[in-house]
Amino acid sequence: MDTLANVIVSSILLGGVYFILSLGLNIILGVLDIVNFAHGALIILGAYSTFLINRALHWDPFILVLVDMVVVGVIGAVLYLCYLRFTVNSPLVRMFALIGFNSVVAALLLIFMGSDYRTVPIDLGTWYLGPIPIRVTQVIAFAFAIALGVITIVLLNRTKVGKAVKAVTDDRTSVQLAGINDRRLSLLAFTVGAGLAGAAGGIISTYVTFGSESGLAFAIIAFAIVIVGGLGDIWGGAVASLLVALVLTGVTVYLSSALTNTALFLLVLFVLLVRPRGILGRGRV
Amino acid sequence: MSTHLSRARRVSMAAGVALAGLVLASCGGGDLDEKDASEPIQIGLIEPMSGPFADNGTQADRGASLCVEQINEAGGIAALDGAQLQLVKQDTGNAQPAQVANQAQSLIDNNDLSAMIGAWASSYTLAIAPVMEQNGMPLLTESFADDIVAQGYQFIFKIPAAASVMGEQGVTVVLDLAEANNYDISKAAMVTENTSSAQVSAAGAVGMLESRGIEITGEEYFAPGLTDANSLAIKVLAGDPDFLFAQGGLADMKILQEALAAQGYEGPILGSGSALVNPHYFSTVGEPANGAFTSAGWNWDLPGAEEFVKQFTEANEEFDFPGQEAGEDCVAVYAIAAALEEAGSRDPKAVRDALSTISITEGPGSMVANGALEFEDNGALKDATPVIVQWQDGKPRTVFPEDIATAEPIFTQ
Repeated sequence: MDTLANVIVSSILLGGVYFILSLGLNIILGVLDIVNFAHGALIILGAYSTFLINRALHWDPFILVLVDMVVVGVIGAVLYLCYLRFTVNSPLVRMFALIGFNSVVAALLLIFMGSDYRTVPIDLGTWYLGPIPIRVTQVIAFAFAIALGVITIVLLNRTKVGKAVKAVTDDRTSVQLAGINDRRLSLLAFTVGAGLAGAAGGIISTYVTFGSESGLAFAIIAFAIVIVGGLGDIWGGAVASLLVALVLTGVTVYLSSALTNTALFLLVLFVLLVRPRGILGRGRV
Repeated sequence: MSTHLSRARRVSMAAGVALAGLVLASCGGGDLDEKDASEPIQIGLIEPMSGPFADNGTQADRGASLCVEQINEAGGIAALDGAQLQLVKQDTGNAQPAQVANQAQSLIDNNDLSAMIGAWASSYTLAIAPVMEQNGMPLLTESFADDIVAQGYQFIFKIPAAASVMGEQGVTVVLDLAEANNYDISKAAMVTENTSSAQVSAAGAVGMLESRGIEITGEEYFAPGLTDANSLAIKVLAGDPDFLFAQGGLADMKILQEALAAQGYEGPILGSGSALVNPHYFSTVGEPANGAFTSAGWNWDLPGAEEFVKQFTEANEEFDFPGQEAGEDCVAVYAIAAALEEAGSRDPKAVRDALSTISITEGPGSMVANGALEFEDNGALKDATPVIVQWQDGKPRTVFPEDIATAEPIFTQ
């Protein structure tokens, strides 16, 4: 019984982080129709941003999550302005460019940061929920992730710009006909999406060790969540994050950690076959 | 069809054969013994110096480079008129084993190597071993895996003890220690990465635990590159073990040990090499690292290593002590130097024959656990014994074999 409760609590905490991990990817996909293969690189840039600033200035790693968001958002904006906006009609070229961006980032990090695995020193102890131990770091990471997610959703639903961004998601042609500058909205969406990936990297850096190529493993989880939640469906992504965390944790504890990737892909396959619009049925096909 | 070739065709065929012979001769670099002392003796160093195993590969590079420098400063290889040693380095990066085999072949083809050192990972070493055999190139390896010296290879020489012995010996030492410290171990669990040498070590450890009547409450293999270790910790601790055999890379061990500590595990941990012999282990994992035991192929506090450690830390100020691979590869360089002296030749086959007969009992070449470097017929180190190490105050200290231990093992309840 303790083990089951432990699995549930652990999955909820992990699910919160997975939500922020997939949110940026989801927004970019929803608004720009770009499958952001550079997502892993943006995540890891956020992690390194926390590591470097924390080492130099000793700022609190959780405050740095906001800085990561700005830093990686700017990198995303530059990537979009300098390259991606010219590839609107060349999805294949864009795909390879984004995959290439991962390799470039990994190589640059290796050259300038070396091959050492990095860690952000933070240990805030452990709380106990009855018999269930919970690391305070993970609770704060969860809280930050949920707060950022909620703020993003509120901004998308309650502000004029946010509504315009959502409108582009739903019907780009109508938005253009209404005279709204969808190029600026696209830049904004990519910047915000990249910034959220950076924030996710910052949050992750507080409890995992990372190296120049560590982004891929997290990007795979983010892609699975976006598919399970439904392409572009943010609420679906939230539910999918919890589900994926529960599946990965449950499979490890009750079956074998060797089966986690298999379980993840079976889940993706199952959702694609049974609910191609995602778990809530509101995503794009 | 006529069996008689025209004269012109015969001449052109002969010319072709001669040309092919010339090309092959130039590829082979000619006779190595015709080289004079001004030309360096090349030793290939093939290691993962970037990518996920870079910590280990760069330690190997630092250790080998330092000892090549030491030998050169002392006058080079006397039997070859003072010829200097030169490392020719190949970074495997994060390549697949088959690619590493190609890299090894290319290193041999494009240089005039007399011997090679590498390739750290057991999967890499197993992949390049046939290349060594086909090319008649001796390889000194830091790899743990038992299979490397179980295939009848003639050109492979292995410095550390076998992975299975590492696991078994580590368990034996820790169990004896626990008994002496009145720490009751009746249940144990294993959590290790699914790499070749880790699996062999873990199987050896589990076998030894079972043979001592200890109940195994969980066995879990994980793929390197963990994104969350909480679930693993929940699983392996579900059976309430008193002892854990845990092994993985540095990044994985950090989050695994943090998760184990957060889930309330305070008992002993034993590993076998990998992260637990990495000089960055303590600075990465932090306090949970102290108290961890591991089997190792080499440790910085072995007898005879004092001068090497001093020079290493002076040359590499970021390290308080050299890592396992640095020591092993220094030993490998001295072994090759001794073989070159013995053979009086740069020829790889002559170096191989000399390696099979050398016996080094003093100097840096002898800084192995049993104090002597001599190889068995199968290429394994004679009387190889693992060093059992415990992390104390941020440093790995040798606690076994007892005659060379530099610290008393600490067993916290």
